[in-house]
Amino acid sequence: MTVEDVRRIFAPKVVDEYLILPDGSLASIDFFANVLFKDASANPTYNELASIDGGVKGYIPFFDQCRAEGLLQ
Amino acid sequence: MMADITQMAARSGKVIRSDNTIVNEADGINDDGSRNVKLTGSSVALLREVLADTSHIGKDVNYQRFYGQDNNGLSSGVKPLDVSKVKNRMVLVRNNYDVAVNVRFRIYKSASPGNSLTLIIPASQSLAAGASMIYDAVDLPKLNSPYLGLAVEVFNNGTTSPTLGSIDVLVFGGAI
Repeated sequence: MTVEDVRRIFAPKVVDEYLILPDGSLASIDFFANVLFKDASANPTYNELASIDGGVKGYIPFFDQCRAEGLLQ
Repeated sequence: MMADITQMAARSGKVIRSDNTIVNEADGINDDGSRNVKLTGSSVALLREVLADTSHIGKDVNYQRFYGQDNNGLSSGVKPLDVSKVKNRMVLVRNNYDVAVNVRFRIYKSASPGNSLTLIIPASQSLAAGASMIYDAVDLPKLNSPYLGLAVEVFNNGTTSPTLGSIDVLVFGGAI
């Protein structure tokens, strides 16, 4: 998953170089794409991203929100 | 028609009232008629800046890190920030670890090391890996309450230790 993939998939959540998370925190897109979820596919599903998160990276609430809004399948 | 200044009398340097008394500084007016004004406002100080602290907070060891005037692994060991002269407080935490962490704030009775009096409620805020968050009185009203010592606590979520990364903590305070 590249930076461009992240910007495309989560476009409504992107501000500048950040993703806006449900709690109001800002996540670095570069860190998200190149470190945390670098092994994700170019068009990941909710389950794929949730699996990589493993409940330890803190992104499950974000993916829940994105799935509810139709950004993730 | 414009005034011809060459025909104007020089000012006396004094301001005369209608009863012919002269105003003076005690009236708050200077000889030239100007008034002294006292400017008021606020200033903001960076109380603490911790950048790229790589003291990894492990799952089982070094579980917590406390940031005050210094860094410490114990709430009773850290030297709290002196926030007695700042009214408005804002804390920025950047979690550059590859796992989520929890952030909370501890109140102390002074800016000297000692046992924390209590936590600011809500007690714990989860911060995702790679995320940054601003904490201020909008979400944590007690961050601006009148107490003397404050420390920022970052601790592991108890499931996984980070494998890389660091923590940034910046604390700002606005003068009373």
